[in-house]
Amino acid sequence: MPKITELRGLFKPFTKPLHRQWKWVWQEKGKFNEPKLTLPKALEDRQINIIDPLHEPDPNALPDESTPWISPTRHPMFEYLVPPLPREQHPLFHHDRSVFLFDSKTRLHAGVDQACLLTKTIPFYELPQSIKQTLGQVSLPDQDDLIQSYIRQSIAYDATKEHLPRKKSPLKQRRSFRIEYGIPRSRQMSIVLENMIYLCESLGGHYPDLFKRHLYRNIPFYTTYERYGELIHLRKQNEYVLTSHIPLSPIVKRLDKLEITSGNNTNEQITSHDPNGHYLIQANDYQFLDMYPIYPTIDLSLEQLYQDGDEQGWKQRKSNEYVHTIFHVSNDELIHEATADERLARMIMFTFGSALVQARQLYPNGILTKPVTIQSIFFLDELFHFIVFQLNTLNYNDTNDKQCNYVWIDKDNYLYDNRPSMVMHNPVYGTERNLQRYVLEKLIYNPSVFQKFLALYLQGVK
Amino acid sequence: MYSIIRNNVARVLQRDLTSILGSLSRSTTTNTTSPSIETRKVDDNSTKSDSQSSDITKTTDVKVPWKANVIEMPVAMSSQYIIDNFREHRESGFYYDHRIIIPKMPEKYTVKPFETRKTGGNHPDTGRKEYRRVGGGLKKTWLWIDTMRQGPKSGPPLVERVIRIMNSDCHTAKVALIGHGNTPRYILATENLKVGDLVKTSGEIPKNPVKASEGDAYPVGALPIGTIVNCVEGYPGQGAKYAINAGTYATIMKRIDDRCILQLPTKHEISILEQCMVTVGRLSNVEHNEFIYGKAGATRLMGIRPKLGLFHPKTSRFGRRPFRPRPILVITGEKPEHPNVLKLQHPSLDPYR
Repeated sequence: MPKITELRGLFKPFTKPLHRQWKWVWQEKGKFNEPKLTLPKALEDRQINIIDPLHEPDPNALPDESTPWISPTRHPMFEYLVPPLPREQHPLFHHDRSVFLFDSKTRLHAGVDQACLLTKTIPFYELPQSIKQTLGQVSLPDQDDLIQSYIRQSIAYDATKEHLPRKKSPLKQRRSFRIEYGIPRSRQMSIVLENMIYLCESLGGHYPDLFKRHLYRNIPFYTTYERYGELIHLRKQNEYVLTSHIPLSPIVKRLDKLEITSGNNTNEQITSHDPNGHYLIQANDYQFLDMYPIYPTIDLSLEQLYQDGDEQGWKQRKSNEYVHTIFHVSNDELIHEATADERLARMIMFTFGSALVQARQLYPNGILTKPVTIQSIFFLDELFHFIVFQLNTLNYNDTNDKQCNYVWIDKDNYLYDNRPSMVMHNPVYGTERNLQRYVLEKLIYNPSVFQKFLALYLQGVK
Repeated sequence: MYSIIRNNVARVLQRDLTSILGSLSRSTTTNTTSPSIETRKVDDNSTKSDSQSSDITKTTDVKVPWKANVIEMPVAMSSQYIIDNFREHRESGFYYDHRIIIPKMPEKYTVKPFETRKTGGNHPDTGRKEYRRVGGGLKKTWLWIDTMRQGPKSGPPLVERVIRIMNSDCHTAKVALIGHGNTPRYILATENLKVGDLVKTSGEIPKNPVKASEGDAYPVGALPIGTIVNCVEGYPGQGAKYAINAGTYATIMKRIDDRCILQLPTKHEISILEQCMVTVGRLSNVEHNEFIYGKAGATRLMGIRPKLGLFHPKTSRFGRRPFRPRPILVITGEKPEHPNVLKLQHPSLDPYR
């Protein structure tokens, strides 16, 4: 007969609760009832072994004939718990061939001339005549007033109020600016740009082709191409890309008496009033820059982590998507951080890259029958650069090949003239509030900039 | 050193100037005419004329026009060089100066500027105040300057081009960005260097002395007596040690057997081997010692704290002291060993184990 001290806690309906003594009673008599592992009803018929990781395996169990269980290493869901892979084990790391990387942050110290050496182009510092003739022809009613209202909206009349990044002046290291709240720059520029594009689209009543265009935002872009035996890789996140269903027509159709467009009359005389002849005569005077002990790839860094192939942003190769313009908009840069030369060089390289991708898709043989043209626009609060690029060759390895690409550059167009800046000592102190006041009261607007914008937008229509 | 205050302005303005004036010269060779690639005619900015009349018959691949006649040499400096030669390199960072620490040194030579930390005059090991009058000031960015100008020992010299000249926060002389092939590097600029100049280095010692032109680097045995020279090495392969500061220069006085005697800017004479590399000319920023700060705040921005002097006892320690000239310092080629790590040989003396 057990003693009453041993029976304590066992007759649940007959005992009082243990309170403070629960701990010591549990130490002596505590038991954990493990749940029995049973098979669910649907699987009772089969002979399945239950693997209990907390206990030793059953020696009588049947051998495991199914596939062994492999732990999921580096599942993307749990990447944040594990230390990151070293660079050499990344799947895109190429051990054999390294590549010169051109990013949206590289700077070519020799500017446009260095970019022209790398891409075999000839620059002209004016817009082509076929675009100049159409500058003032098409205009919207009230276009000046509307754009001035967009500028005012982007700077002052917008309801966002966010903590802006701290301003710094390169003149004086210890000058500290106050914390400011206002409209961030990305939003400022997107307001102006998107409204301008929307304005241009409103001409769709006259030109129904405009409705077949698409505007892509934040799409990736990368290519590789070979220049005299060295691979160059271009990589960028395009902020805005305009596409159309028809490719742009080339601006210069005859190059050195070689017929590129099919089905035209062959006129061997190049007269001076012929717009195509004007550019050919000018092109023969241009000499490529001789940077004797320096290679033009000096500013590019060697990279082994890159992705092969071309990528334009849309996955399936849609036969009706041709790139029309690329808009270069950068939110982190200030005007004084890079020169116009470096920015133009960057634009030239990336338009060249997208033209290359388009040409490779249209002519997989490597022989261009019709040149490819692409436009691009650079925009950074009130500064505009316009570029028209024409691709004529796909050969960048032969020294004897004399066909080059053409680039028309129109730089330093200011939308409004008097924006106070922090670089030089100026009487208008550059806070956001003063910016607003100054721009709202004394806006000096330049209407020619939007005319060029419209003219470039309406290329390839009709 | 006053460059710190105006450094950023100069950086901003110099970029515009170089783009406006045209940093690189244009030659008369054209791509559309016959492929006359082997002729290198550089007209405008180069004032160099070398007496070496060696015909350059280098076998190049004619396919790449910009690679013709270019000799490629990798940069000799690396972080291993710093670990071997500088005692002040520690795991916590590279103590370049008694004022500046560079927290992380990469393995290879880079051109991008480094962000630094300040010591405040404290010793890195003990943590106590070791140097007076050090503390505060503006932030400094450090540029890794290549002091080893190695050249090919036979054959045509290594030619490089000046891309940019800038001021540096941590050096009194001006710094020039130089490039050849795909490698850019920094060197200390001499007085009359301009953007777009060509600069040579060669390691050859011919029988007749070489007619020196400014900015070029030759071994000491190749130069005639009386040339003005800077960035002098102690023994071949060491790196520049003497005459590194702004406006300084050394002069070559004599040549005995295979050693040369130079006079340093302190009027002390030194004898070094013939193969030590040396650059010709006087270093830039000659008016550095004539700079007037103008106010006490400028010295504080340099990182110089005030000095005690009013009620201190004065001894005659720093008065007029005419010294006898010191004898010539002869430097042999043996490299001294600077171990960075002290190894305890008797572990039993360690009380914690």
